[in-house]
Amino acid sequence: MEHLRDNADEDRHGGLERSVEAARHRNQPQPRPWLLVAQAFAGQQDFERAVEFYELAIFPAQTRLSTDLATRAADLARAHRRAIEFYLLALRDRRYDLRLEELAMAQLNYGIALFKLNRLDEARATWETIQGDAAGILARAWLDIAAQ
Amino acid sequence: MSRILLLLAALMLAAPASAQATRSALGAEREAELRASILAAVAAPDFRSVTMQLEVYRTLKEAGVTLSSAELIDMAEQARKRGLPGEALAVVYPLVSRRCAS
Repeated sequence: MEHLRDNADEDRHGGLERSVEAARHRNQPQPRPWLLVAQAFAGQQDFERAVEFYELAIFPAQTRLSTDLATRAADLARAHRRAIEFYLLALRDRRYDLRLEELAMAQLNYGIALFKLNRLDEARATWETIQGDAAGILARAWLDIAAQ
Repeated sequence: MSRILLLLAALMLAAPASAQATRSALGAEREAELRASILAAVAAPDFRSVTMQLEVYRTLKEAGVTLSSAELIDMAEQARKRGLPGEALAVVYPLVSRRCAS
Protein backbone atom coordinates (compact mmCIF):
# COMPACT_ATOMS: atom_id res chain seq x y z
CA MET A 1 0.00 0.00 0.00
CA GLU A 2 2.81 2.33 1.03
CA HIS A 3 4.60 1.45 -2.18
CA LEU A 4 1.52 2.31 -4.27
CA ARG A 5 1.11 5.61 -2.48
CA ASP A 6 4.79 6.48 -3.08
CA ASN A 7 4.37 5.71 -6.77
CA ALA A 8 1.22 7.83 -6.98
CA ASP A 9 2.98 10.75 -5.25
CA GLU A 10 5.90 10.40 -7.60
CA ASP A 11 3.61 10.34 -10.66
CA ARG A 12 1.72 13.37 -9.45
CA HIS A 13 4.90 15.26 -8.70
CA GLY A 14 6.44 14.25 -12.05
CA GLY A 15 3.29 15.38 -13.88
CA LEU A 16 3.35 18.73 -12.13
CA GLU A 17 7.02 19.28 -12.92
CA ARG A 18 6.26 18.52 -16.58
CA SER A 19 3.39 21.06 -16.53
CA VAL A 20 5.71 23.68 -15.08
CA GLU A 21 8.25 22.99 -17.79
CA ALA A 22 5.58 23.10 -20.51
CA ALA A 23 4.25 26.42 -19.20
CA ARG A 24 7.75 27.87 -19.03
CA HIS A 25 8.58 26.60 -22.49
CA ARG A 26 5.53 28.28 -24.05
CA ASN A 27 6.64 31.60 -22.58
CA GLN A 28 3.36 33.22 -23.57
CA PRO A 29 1.47 36.03 -21.91
CA GLN A 30 -1.79 34.03 -21.55
CA PRO A 31 -2.32 33.31 -17.89
CA ARG A 32 -4.06 29.95 -18.21
CA PRO A 33 -1.01 27.62 -18.09
CA TRP A 34 0.32 29.47 -15.03
CA LEU A 35 -3.09 29.36 -13.41
CA LEU A 36 -3.31 25.59 -13.85
CA VAL A 37 0.14 25.10 -12.37
CA ALA A 38 -0.72 27.41 -9.46
CA GLN A 39 -3.85 25.41 -8.75
CA ALA A 40 -1.93 22.15 -8.90
CA PHE A 41 0.56 23.44 -6.31
CA ALA A 42 -2.34 24.67 -4.20
CA GLY A 43 -3.75 21.14 -4.35
CA GLN A 44 -0.49 19.92 -2.88
CA GLN A 45 -0.70 22.57 -0.13
CA ASP A 46 2.49 24.14 -1.50
CA PHE A 47 1.27 27.72 -1.14
CA GLU A 48 4.66 29.35 -1.65
CA ARG A 49 4.93 27.93 -5.15
CA ALA A 50 1.21 28.34 -5.85
CA VAL A 51 1.50 32.04 -5.11
CA GLU A 52 4.59 32.29 -7.28
CA PHE A 53 2.70 30.87 -10.28
CA TYR A 54 -0.43 32.92 -9.61
CA GLU A 55 1.85 35.93 -9.79
CA LEU A 56 3.03 34.84 -13.23
CA ALA A 57 -0.60 34.45 -14.30
CA ILE A 58 -1.75 37.79 -12.95
CA PHE A 59 0.82 40.43 -13.60
CA PRO A 60 1.33 40.15 -17.37
CA ALA A 61 -2.42 39.98 -18.06
CA GLN A 62 -3.66 43.39 -16.82
CA THR A 63 -7.21 42.71 -17.99
CA ARG A 64 -10.43 41.95 -16.20
CA LEU A 65 -9.06 38.43 -15.92
CA SER A 66 -6.25 39.76 -13.78
CA THR A 67 -8.78 41.03 -11.25
CA ASP A 68 -10.46 37.65 -11.10
CA LEU A 69 -7.12 35.93 -10.79
CA ALA A 70 -5.92 38.34 -8.15
CA THR A 71 -9.01 37.60 -6.09
CA ARG A 72 -8.52 33.87 -6.54
CA ALA A 73 -4.84 34.07 -5.67
CA ALA A 74 -5.61 36.08 -2.58
CA ASP A 75 -8.38 33.67 -1.68
CA LEU A 76 -5.94 30.82 -1.94
CA ALA A 77 -3.41 32.59 0.24
CA ARG A 78 -5.71 34.13 2.84
CA ALA A 79 -3.31 33.47 5.69
CA HIS A 80 -0.26 34.02 3.53
CA ARG A 81 1.74 37.23 3.70
CA ARG A 82 1.23 37.74 -0.04
CA ALA A 83 -2.57 37.65 0.26
CA ILE A 84 -2.66 41.35 1.17
CA GLU A 85 -0.83 42.27 -1.99
CA PHE A 86 -3.15 40.23 -4.20
CA TYR A 87 -6.26 41.66 -2.58
CA LEU A 88 -4.94 45.17 -3.03
CA LEU A 89 -4.38 44.39 -6.70
CA ALA A 90 -7.94 43.07 -7.02
CA LEU A 91 -9.36 46.13 -5.27
CA ARG A 92 -7.17 48.59 -7.15
CA ASP A 93 -8.11 47.06 -10.49
CA ARG A 94 -11.80 47.56 -9.97
CA ARG A 95 -11.74 49.93 -12.91
CA TYR A 96 -11.90 46.66 -14.87
CA ASP A 97 -15.58 46.44 -14.07
CA LEU A 98 -15.39 44.57 -10.77
CA ARG A 99 -19.03 44.02 -9.82
CA LEU A 100 -20.23 45.45 -6.54
CA GLU A 101 -20.57 42.09 -4.81
CA GLU A 102 -17.15 41.03 -6.09
CA LEU A 103 -15.68 44.20 -4.66
CA ALA A 104 -17.44 43.55 -1.34
CA MET A 105 -16.15 39.95 -1.25
CA ALA A 106 -12.62 41.09 -2.05
CA GLN A 107 -12.87 43.64 0.79
CA LEU A 108 -14.29 41.03 3.16
CA ASN A 109 -11.42 38.69 2.40
CA TYR A 110 -8.87 41.48 2.52
CA GLY A 111 -10.09 42.09 6.07
CA ILE A 112 -9.83 38.37 6.85
CA ALA A 113 -6.27 38.26 5.52
CA LEU A 114 -5.38 41.23 7.75
CA PHE A 115 -7.11 39.55 10.69
CA LYS A 116 -5.18 36.30 10.14
CA LEU A 117 -1.99 38.32 10.15
CA ASN A 118 -3.02 39.92 13.47
CA ARG A 119 -3.50 43.38 11.93
CA LEU A 120 -6.77 43.75 13.81
CA ASP A 121 -7.33 47.51 13.59
CA GLU A 122 -6.87 47.48 9.82
CA ALA A 123 -9.12 44.42 9.53
CA ARG A 124 -11.89 46.13 11.52
CA ALA A 125 -11.57 49.33 9.49
CA THR A 126 -11.84 47.32 6.25
CA TRP A 127 -14.93 45.39 7.36
CA GLU A 128 -16.64 48.56 8.58
CA THR A 129 -16.47 50.14 5.12
CA ILE A 130 -18.07 47.23 3.25
CA GLN A 131 -21.17 48.09 1.22
CA GLY A 132 -23.87 45.59 0.33
CA ASP A 133 -26.44 43.64 2.30
CA ALA A 134 -25.07 40.09 2.21
CA ALA A 135 -21.42 41.14 2.46
CA GLY A 136 -22.36 43.58 5.25
CA ILE A 137 -23.91 40.74 7.28
CA LEU A 138 -20.80 38.61 6.85
CA ALA A 139 -18.57 41.57 7.70
CA ARG A 140 -20.50 42.11 10.96
CA ALA A 141 -20.06 38.41 11.77
CA TRP A 142 -16.30 38.78 11.27
CA LEU A 143 -16.27 41.88 13.47
CA ASP A 144 -17.90 39.71 16.17
CA ILE A 145 -15.37 36.93 15.61
CA ALA A 146 -12.51 39.43 15.92
CA ALA A 147 -14.02 40.81 19.13
CA GLN A 148 -14.09 37.36 20.82
CA MET B 1 -13.26 15.30 -7.92
CA SER B 2 -16.99 15.98 -8.33
CA ARG B 3 -17.60 12.23 -8.38
CA ILE B 4 -15.56 11.82 -5.20
CA LEU B 5 -17.66 14.50 -3.52
CA LEU B 6 -20.87 12.80 -4.65
CA LEU B 7 -19.60 9.49 -3.27
CA LEU B 8 -18.74 11.19 -0.01
CA ALA B 9 -22.18 12.73 0.11
CA ALA B 10 -23.75 9.28 -0.27
CA LEU B 11 -21.51 7.87 2.47
CA MET B 12 -22.31 10.70 4.83
CA LEU B 13 -26.03 10.49 4.26
CA ALA B 14 -25.84 6.80 5.13
CA ALA B 15 -23.99 7.56 8.37
CA PRO B 16 -25.89 8.07 11.62
CA ALA B 17 -26.53 11.72 12.46
CA SER B 18 -24.54 11.48 15.68
CA ALA B 19 -21.45 10.53 13.71
CA GLN B 20 -21.86 13.37 11.25
CA ALA B 21 -21.59 16.44 13.40
CA THR B 22 -18.42 17.67 15.01
CA ARG B 23 -18.71 18.81 18.59
CA SER B 24 -18.94 22.56 18.97
CA ALA B 25 -17.27 24.47 21.78
CA LEU B 26 -20.19 26.93 21.78
CA GLY B 27 -23.38 26.40 23.74
CA ALA B 28 -26.36 25.27 21.65
CA GLU B 29 -28.18 28.57 22.13
CA ARG B 30 -25.19 30.72 21.16
CA GLU B 31 -24.48 28.48 18.19
CA ALA B 32 -28.07 28.74 16.94
CA GLU B 33 -27.92 32.52 17.36
CA LEU B 34 -24.65 32.77 15.40
CA ARG B 35 -25.89 30.43 12.70
CA ALA B 36 -29.08 32.49 12.23
CA SER B 37 -27.21 35.78 12.11
CA ILE B 38 -24.69 34.52 9.53
CA LEU B 39 -27.27 32.70 7.40
CA ALA B 40 -29.23 35.96 7.18
CA ALA B 41 -26.71 36.81 4.45
CA VAL B 42 -28.24 34.09 2.25
CA ALA B 43 -31.63 35.82 2.41
CA ALA B 44 -30.18 39.24 1.54
CA PRO B 45 -31.40 40.64 -1.80
CA ASP B 46 -27.90 40.93 -3.25
CA PHE B 47 -26.76 37.43 -2.21
CA ARG B 48 -25.14 35.52 -5.08
CA SER B 49 -24.40 31.89 -4.31
CA VAL B 50 -21.63 31.62 -6.89
CA THR B 51 -19.46 34.24 -5.21
CA MET B 52 -20.76 34.19 -1.63
CA GLN B 53 -21.78 30.68 -0.55
CA LEU B 54 -18.21 29.65 0.28
CA GLU B 55 -17.79 32.83 2.36
CA VAL B 56 -20.90 31.95 4.34
CA TYR B 57 -19.51 28.49 5.17
CA ARG B 58 -16.09 29.92 6.04
CA THR B 59 -17.67 32.47 8.35
CA LEU B 60 -19.79 29.79 10.07
CA LYS B 61 -16.70 27.63 10.59
CA GLU B 62 -14.58 30.48 11.87
CA ALA B 63 -17.35 31.49 14.29
CA GLY B 64 -17.27 27.93 15.69
CA VAL B 65 -20.65 26.86 14.33
CA THR B 66 -20.97 23.13 13.61
CA LEU B 67 -21.53 22.37 9.94
CA SER B 68 -23.53 19.30 8.91
CA SER B 69 -21.94 16.75 6.60
CA ALA B 70 -24.08 17.99 3.73
CA GLU B 71 -22.91 21.57 4.37
CA LEU B 72 -19.27 20.44 4.54
CA ILE B 73 -19.59 18.59 1.25
CA ASP B 74 -21.21 21.61 -0.37
CA MET B 75 -18.46 23.79 1.08
CA ALA B 76 -15.86 21.50 -0.50
CA GLU B 77 -17.70 21.65 -3.81
CA GLN B 78 -17.82 25.46 -3.67
CA ALA B 79 -14.09 25.57 -2.91
CA ARG B 80 -13.38 23.22 -5.82
CA LYS B 81 -15.43 25.41 -8.18
CA ARG B 82 -13.42 28.42 -7.03
CA GLY B 83 -10.16 26.68 -7.96
CA LEU B 84 -9.18 25.90 -4.37
CA PRO B 85 -8.64 22.12 -4.35
CA GLY B 86 -6.51 22.26 -1.20
CA GLU B 87 -9.33 23.85 0.75
CA ALA B 88 -11.83 21.35 -0.71
CA LEU B 89 -9.69 18.44 0.47
CA ALA B 90 -9.09 19.99 3.89
CA VAL B 91 -12.87 20.30 4.34
CA VAL B 92 -13.78 16.73 3.32
CA TYR B 93 -10.80 14.94 4.87
CA PRO B 94 -12.19 14.92 8.45
CA LEU B 95 -15.44 13.46 7.10
CA VAL B 96 -13.56 10.60 5.47
CA SER B 97 -11.42 9.94 8.57
CA ARG B 98 -14.49 9.97 10.80
CA ARG B 99 -16.34 7.61 8.48
CA CYS B 100 -13.35 5.25 8.30
CA ALA B 101 -12.99 5.27 12.10
CA SER B 102 -16.66 4.48 12.75
